[in-house]
Amino acid sequence: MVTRILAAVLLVGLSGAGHVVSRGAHEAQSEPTTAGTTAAALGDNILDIGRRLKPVISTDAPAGPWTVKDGSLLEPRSSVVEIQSTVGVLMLAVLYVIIFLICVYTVRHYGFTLNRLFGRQRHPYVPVDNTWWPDVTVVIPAHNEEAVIGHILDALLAADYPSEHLRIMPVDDRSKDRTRQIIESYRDASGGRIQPFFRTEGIPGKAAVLRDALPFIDTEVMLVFDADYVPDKGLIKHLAVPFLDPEIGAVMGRVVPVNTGRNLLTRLLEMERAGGYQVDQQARMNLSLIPQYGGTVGGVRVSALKSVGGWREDSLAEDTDITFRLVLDGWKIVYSNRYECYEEVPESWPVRIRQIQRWARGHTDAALRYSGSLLRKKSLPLKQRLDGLLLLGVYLMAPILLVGWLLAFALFFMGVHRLHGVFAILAVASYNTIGNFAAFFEIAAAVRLDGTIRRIRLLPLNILGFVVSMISVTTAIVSHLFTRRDDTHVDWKKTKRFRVASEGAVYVAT
Amino acid sequence: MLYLLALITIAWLVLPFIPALVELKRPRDVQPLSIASRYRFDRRNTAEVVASEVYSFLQTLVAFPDRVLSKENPGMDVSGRFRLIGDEDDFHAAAASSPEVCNIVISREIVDCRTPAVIKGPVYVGTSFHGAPASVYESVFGENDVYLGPGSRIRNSLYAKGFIVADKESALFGSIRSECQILVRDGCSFERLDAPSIVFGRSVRRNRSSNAHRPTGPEAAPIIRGDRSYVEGNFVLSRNAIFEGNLVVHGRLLIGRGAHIRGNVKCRHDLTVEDDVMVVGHVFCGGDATVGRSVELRGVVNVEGRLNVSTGTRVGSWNCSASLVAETLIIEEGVHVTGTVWALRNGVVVIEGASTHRRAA
Repeated sequence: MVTRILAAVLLVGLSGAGHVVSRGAHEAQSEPTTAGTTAAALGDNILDIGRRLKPVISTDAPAGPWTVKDGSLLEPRSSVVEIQSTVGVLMLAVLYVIIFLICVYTVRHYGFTLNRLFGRQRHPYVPVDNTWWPDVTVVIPAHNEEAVIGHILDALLAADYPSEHLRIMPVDDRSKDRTRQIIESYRDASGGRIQPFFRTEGIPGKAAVLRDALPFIDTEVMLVFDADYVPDKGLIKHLAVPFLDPEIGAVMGRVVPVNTGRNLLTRLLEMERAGGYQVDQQARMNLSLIPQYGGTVGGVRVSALKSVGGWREDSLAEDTDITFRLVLDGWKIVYSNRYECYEEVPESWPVRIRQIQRWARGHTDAALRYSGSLLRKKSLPLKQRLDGLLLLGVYLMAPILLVGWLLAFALFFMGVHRLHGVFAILAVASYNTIGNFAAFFEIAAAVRLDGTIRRIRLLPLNILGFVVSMISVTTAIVSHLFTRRDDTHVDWKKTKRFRVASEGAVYVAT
Repeated sequence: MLYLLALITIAWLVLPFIPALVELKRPRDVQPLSIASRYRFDRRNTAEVVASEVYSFLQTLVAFPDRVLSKENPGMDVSGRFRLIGDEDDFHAAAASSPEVCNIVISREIVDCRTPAVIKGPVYVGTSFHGAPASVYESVFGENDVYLGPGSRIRNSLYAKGFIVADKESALFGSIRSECQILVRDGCSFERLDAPSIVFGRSVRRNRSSNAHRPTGPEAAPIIRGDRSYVEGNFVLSRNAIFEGNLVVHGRLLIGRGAHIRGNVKCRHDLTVEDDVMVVGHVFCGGDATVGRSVELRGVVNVEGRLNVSTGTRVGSWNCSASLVAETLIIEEGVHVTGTVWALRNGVVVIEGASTHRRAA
């Protein structure tokens, strides 16, 4: 039995080489090239390895389709099939659904990448640089940000935006370090351009901060930056321009990690971010789907925000939440790859895990809340509704994929039907080659578009990031689904900053 | 055979990790993506960068003329980067030199060329510049007016603190910027123009204000108010109608003659603006757009497809500049823009009535 498991693990885990192995088996046995027989030969070969290691295994083991005798496969005993059939068929049905979902996401990944590489790119608002500029408030939620808050305030004060139309509002949320003092010193020196808001009560979290700040904002546009971001001097103009379009409810720019070279994690995250923004978001913009407002390096139209009820303070992913509320209210979201801003990515795995778990919980919350409404929203084009559903379900795919793997293993051993078992294994194996590769392809394309192709050498190590993310997201979602809704707001965990104040706004890794 | 297969499998798995582990051990590409520099290298700033470089050189030249100028090559500096010229002969001599020999041609006098020249490097003119017909320039930076003869070509950029006149059939690639006015004659093609006043072809005196013909009293069209009006299909705003608020049309939009919109307009498909319309707001169009005669558009006009603009149309106003952006721009003579004109693919100036013919064709 142990050998069987090892064989199966080998089959799934090494599926990147699966087709080579199966072709070799096919050539050796000169059998017909149907998928079933090829896979059977593959299983046979692998079990043959096990048989050489421990020759007695196949005779005493419970009968299944993979029982081997004299080099050929035997049919299972009928009683076993009857017991297994009902459960097995159900499992098979679930697995087929999972396989379908996997295929959809795989196609989506490839579609986005090909669009980004060869399709028509849409940057409709980038050329506009002469107009009467709307009044803008830049909100910077800050909680214990003494190391970074000064850098962003310096950057915003140097912004190439008419000062009479720009208001900077750092929101200090009960910091216990020197954040408040730093903000006050900047306020005193800014000549009224910085108008801070000091929060002294209420629940923690960025969404709650933004909700409390909203009544004090009387401008047409509200831009949001996290405190660790360092906007380029032209960025405010870029982000404000799309709001001249009366249909636009929110704008999103690109996030570029600044601490890329710190360690392996930051380098992997840099590539992951590149894939997500350079390819995924821009392709959604090109295809007129639903680009996501990402909560920072972006902004919302204040009237639109108020029309949908403002920020939800109990949301762990206020960006996803507001994206779909705006979309459901008929507003458009704009993404442009050319609105770029530096951010600091986590430099340690525990911080990264906490960050992605928070995103997963918030995203799942939004998925449960808005999926139905999105499907019923007839005024939205079908492609937008489908893309919205896929976007909402993107974190749910982690546990679903894990379930798929388990089901595939179980079906493999239960042997409900020989062909189905083979199909299940092949499906999961295919996902490991083609499906995962789709995401890798996306990252590789992004790195190529960024002109930093030497970074592609690290691409295989991204599997590490994917595995960690998948496990973290799965545990977060499972725990979130079994947590009372009222408890979610206390679960906010601030992402740790790694920058040292003396390092300056833009630093290069050592 | 089995061992060979196992070996291939292991190699298949391990090989991609070798460069990854080498890169991990000895990182060679760890710099963050450069984004701040992209703003600095924006075409709009090219002129300032070159001008500051020239100013710096000239200051040094005034202070230390003997140290700066080369004795072997009269008129050139010791580094070979700058070449000072005085008359047209010097100009042609500079044209004959390759950009590697002479990067920036500097004239502190008026340059008045009679015969065509091809200058491969930037030209800096301390006063005015009068180019010969059918000349080709990489970049021209003028402290005063710049005139380009018929059939001239700018490859990269043109900047002048005074007026810029591009005569007929000129091709203006890259960024063209003036602190006063740009006059682009018919037959010219362009990419990006930026000035407080941009005139295409010739100035057209407006016979009447766009509101002059609008009926008043009981015959006047009702005022339609819509803070945020969505129209699912196509929409026609009737003649002489007054619309207040933002108008978003998911289909095609036709704004009837003499209509007046006080708000922003968004049209996802094609847009037709008839004669004498006035829009005090921004206009966004996801398809092609046609703008009739004597239209006033006092905000940004952003068209994702082709835009035909007829004679007498004004974009922007004296107190607020605007942007006219389209993938392909066909502008009749007599159009006036305050601000920026940007044809993402191609822009061309045609004679009056020709844009309609092109559209029909």
